[in-house]
Amino acid sequence: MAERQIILRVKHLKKYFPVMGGLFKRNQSAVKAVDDVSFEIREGETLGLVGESGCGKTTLSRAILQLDPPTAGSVELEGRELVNMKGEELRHIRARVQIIFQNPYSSLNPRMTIGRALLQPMIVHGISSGKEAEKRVSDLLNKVGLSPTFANRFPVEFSGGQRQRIGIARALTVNPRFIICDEPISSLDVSMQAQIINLLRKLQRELNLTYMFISHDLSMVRYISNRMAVMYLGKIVELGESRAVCGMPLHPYTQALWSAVPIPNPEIEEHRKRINLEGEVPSPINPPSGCRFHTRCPKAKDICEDIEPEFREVGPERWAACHMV
Amino acid sequence: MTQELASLQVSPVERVKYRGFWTGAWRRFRRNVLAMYGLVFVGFIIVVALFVPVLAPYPYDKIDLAHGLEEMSKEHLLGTDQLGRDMLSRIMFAARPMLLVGFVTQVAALLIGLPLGIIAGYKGGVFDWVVTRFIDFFSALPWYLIVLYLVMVLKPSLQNLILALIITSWVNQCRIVRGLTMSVREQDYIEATRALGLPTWQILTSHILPQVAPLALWGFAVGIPTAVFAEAGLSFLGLGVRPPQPSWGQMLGESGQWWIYKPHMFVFPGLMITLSVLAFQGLADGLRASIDVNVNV
Amino acid sequence: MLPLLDVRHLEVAFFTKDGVVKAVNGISYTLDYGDTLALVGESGCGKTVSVLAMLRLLPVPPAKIMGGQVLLEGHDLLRLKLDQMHTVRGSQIAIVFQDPMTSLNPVMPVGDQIAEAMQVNLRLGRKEALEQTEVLLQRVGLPNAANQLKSYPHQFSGGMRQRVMIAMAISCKPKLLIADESTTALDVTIQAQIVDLVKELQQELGMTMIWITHNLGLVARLAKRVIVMYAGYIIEMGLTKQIFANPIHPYTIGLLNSVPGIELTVDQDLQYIEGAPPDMIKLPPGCPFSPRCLYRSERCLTERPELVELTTSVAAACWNIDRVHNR
Repeated sequence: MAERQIILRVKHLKKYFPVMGGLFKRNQSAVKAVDDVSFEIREGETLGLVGESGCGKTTLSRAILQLDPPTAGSVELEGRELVNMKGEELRHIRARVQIIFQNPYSSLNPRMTIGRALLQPMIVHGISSGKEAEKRVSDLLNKVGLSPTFANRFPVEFSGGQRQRIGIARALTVNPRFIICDEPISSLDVSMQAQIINLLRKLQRELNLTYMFISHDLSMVRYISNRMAVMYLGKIVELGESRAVCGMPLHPYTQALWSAVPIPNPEIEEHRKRINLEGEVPSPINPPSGCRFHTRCPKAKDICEDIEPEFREVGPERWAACHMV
Repeated sequence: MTQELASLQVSPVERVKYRGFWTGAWRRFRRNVLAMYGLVFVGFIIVVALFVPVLAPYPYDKIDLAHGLEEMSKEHLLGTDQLGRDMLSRIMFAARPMLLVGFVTQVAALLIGLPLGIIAGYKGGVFDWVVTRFIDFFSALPWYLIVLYLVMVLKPSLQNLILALIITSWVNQCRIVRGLTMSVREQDYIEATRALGLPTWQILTSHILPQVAPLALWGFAVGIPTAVFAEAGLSFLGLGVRPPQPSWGQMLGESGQWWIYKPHMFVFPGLMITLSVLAFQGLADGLRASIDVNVNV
Repeated sequence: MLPLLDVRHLEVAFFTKDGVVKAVNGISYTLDYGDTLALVGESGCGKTVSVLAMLRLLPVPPAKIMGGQVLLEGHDLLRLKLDQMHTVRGSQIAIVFQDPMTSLNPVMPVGDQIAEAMQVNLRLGRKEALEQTEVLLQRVGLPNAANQLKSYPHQFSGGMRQRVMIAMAISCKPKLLIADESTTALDVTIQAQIVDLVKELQQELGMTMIWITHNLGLVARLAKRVIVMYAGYIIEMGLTKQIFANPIHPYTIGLLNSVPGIELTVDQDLQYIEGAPPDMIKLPPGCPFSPRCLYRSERCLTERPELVELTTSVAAACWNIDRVHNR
C-alpha cells in the first residue's frame, strides 16, 4: 500500500472548560471534555468517531476546527499547525477543513437564499466571482442531487434531507480536503439517511475527500468508516480498523457498546449474549481515578482504580487503553 | 431509471412558496386593524406636517388680540387661543415638532444602540461588560426624571429635549439587540460561517444583522410614542418647544386658565395627542405581532 | 378468546388551513393478551397519531376521528365520552413518551407526580401512594429511591428520567403499555438498560406491549409481531422473524436495505429508497408508495392495494408481489 499523506495529525489534544466558583474565585475545577487525545487521519480515509453523550466527540471536532481553541496539544492540518494560528492566516486555512452539522433546521441561515449562502464563501476566499461563481453554485447543487433552480429559494422551502444536501454543498464551496461530519444523519428518517450516506461516499470517491465521521449510530459508523475510534469521558479508549473493532472489540467499553446495539436480525438478537453496563456515565468534572471506565467495567481489577492505562498499540494497527488487554 | 437520476427529482411535493420574511410580515400586519389605523393616521400626519405652510389657513404666530378666545367659527374652524392665533393652524404646525422628536430620537437611538448591541452581544468580553454596565446604569434610573433634569440643566429647548431623549433611549435598543444577538450567535449556521472563514464584519452584517433588524425596527417603533408623549409632557410644563412655536402639549399647558369656559382650547390639542400616541402604539404593536422573532423563519 | 385490543378501520384526519391531512387511513389489527407488537414507520406515517387517537389524546379540532372502532376488551374507546377516558388512561392503557424533559412537570417533585396518578386511578391515600412510589422507583432501578421522591426532574439524567416515566406508567398496573419512541433520545447503553427493564416489567406484570419505533434493530430485539406503516396505511404486518427474513412489500425491503447489516462491506453502496415521504394532504391515488416504488405498474398508480393475508403469519398490501420476488 502506497504511503498516503497524513491530512490530520492530532497530538495530545486537551480541551478543558473552567468551572468558575463564586464571584471572584478562580477556577475551582474544570470539565475535562477532551483529555489527551491523539490520532492521525490519512488522505482519502474515513475515520469514525463513536461515543455516548458527554464523551467529548463534539468538543473534539470544535477544537480541531479551532472554533473553540484547545487548551493544550497540537492539531496539524496537512503539516501546518493550527493551534495558535490567528487572523488572516487562520481564516485562509479554514477553507481546507469544513464541517457538516447535525441539525438541518438550524445549520442554514433562514433569511438567506441558498444561492447566496453558497456564493458568499466562494467570494470571500477569492475562489471565483460573478457569472463563474454562479455556475459553480449550479454545479455544486447538481453534485449533491438538487436542481440548480433551487438557488433562489429559502431553507424553509426544503425538507430535512434536502437541507442536509445544501449543507454538504456549502461545505464543498471552498474546496476542502477534509470534512468533519458531525452526526449528519441523526436527525433524518431512515430512508433519507441511506441517501445522504451514499452521497457522502460518492463525493469522497469523486473529490478524494477525507472524512471524520462522528456518530452514535455504531452500525452506520462501522459501515462507512475505514478505521474507528471509540471515546469515553474525553479519552479515546480504542482505535483500529472498523470491522476489527466491531467484530473483535478489545476494550470492555467497546464490547459493552457493541453488545448494546440492537441488530436488525431477530435470529441473531434472540441468541446474543449481552453485556449490561451498570449505572450512569460519571460527570466529566470529576472523572473517576485511574481508568475512567473502571466504575462501570465488568472486568475491572484493583489496578484499574489506581493507574490510568496508557493508550498503546496492542496489535497491528490497533490501539487500546486498558490494563486487561 | 438509475438511482442517481431518481434522487434528482427530489420531491413530488408542491413548492411551499416563500417570498421572504418581510412579505410575510406585511401580510400579517395588514390584518391588524389597530396597526392599519396607526399607519393611515401617521401617514396623514406626516403629509400635514410636510405641507402645512400651504395647507394652514393662517401662520401659527399671527396674533389678533381683537379676536382672542373665540369659539369655533367660519373664519377659525377650531377657534382661537388667548392671543387670537388660529387654533387649527397651530395644531397643524404642531405636528412638526412632534414628528421631529419622535423620529429623530429613535433614529439616533438606533444608530447608537444597534451597532453597540450587536458588537457587545457577539464579541462578549470586556466590551460587553462595559456596555452592560451602561445599560444597567441607564435602566436603573427613572428616565422621565432624567430627561426633565437634563432639559432644565441645559436650558429648555426643542434641541435639548431631543438630546435628552436620545441619551435615555439608545439603551433600550442596545439591550434588546444585544440579547437577540447572543441567542442568534449560538445557532449552527453562525458557527458554519466561522468555519467557512468569513470575516467577522461580514458575519455581523450579512448574517446577524438581518436576524436582529426586525426587533430593532420594533424597538424603533415602540420608542416613538414614548418620545412623543415625553415631548407633550415637557412642553405642557413649559420645558419643551419654546413659544411662539406651537406644540400640542404646550397648547394644552397654555389652556389651563381658560379650560372651563373655552373647552376648544384643550380638547383639540389633547385629542391630537391621544390619537397620535395611539396611532404610534398601534403601529408598534402591529409590528410586534407580525415579526414574531421566535419563529425562525 | 377475545383479543385485548381490536382496532377496526381507524381513520384520523387533521383539518388545517393548508388542507386536510389524512394521517391515519383505515388501519386494522388485533392484539392478544401478552403480545409484543412493534409499530414501525418513518415520521409522518401515522404510528403515533393512531395511538394517541386510541387514547383520545388528540386535540379535536384540528384532529378528527373520521371512522373506525377501537375495542379494548370489547368496549369501543372511540364511543366513550371524553370525561370517561380517565378510567382507561393509566389504569388500562399507559403510554411512555419520547421526551422525558417535556413529559414530566418541571416544578413538581417526581414522587408527587407518580403518587398523583395512583391517588387518582387507584384511589390510594397519599401516604400509601408515596410508599408504593418508593417501591416503584426502586424497581425501575433508581438508586436511593427514598431520597429521589423529593427530587425534581431536572436533577435526573435522561436515562433516569425515562425510568421515572416508566414507573409512572406502570404504577397503576395497566393491561397495555405503549412505548412511543421512548428510547430514541437515549444513548445506546442506556437504551439497552431501559429496554431490558421494560421487558422484565412486562413479564412480571403480564402486560401487553406496543413499541412504536423507527429503529429496526429494536424491533428485532423486542417484538414478536410487527406492523409496518406508510402514509397512514398498514402496508405489511406479521411475525417479526418472518418479515425480517422475507420482507414482502417493496417499502419494507427498502427499509431493511437502508440499514447497514453486519455483512455489508465498505465497498457496497447502501440500497436506498428514492424520493421523499409523501405529502399527506395530497396523497396520490392508488398505492401511496407508488411514486417511489421500483416495481410499480399501471395498476399501482390508480388502485390502492388492500392488505391481503398471504400466510397465517404475514399480510402485505401490494399488487406486484410476484414481480418483486421474481426479480
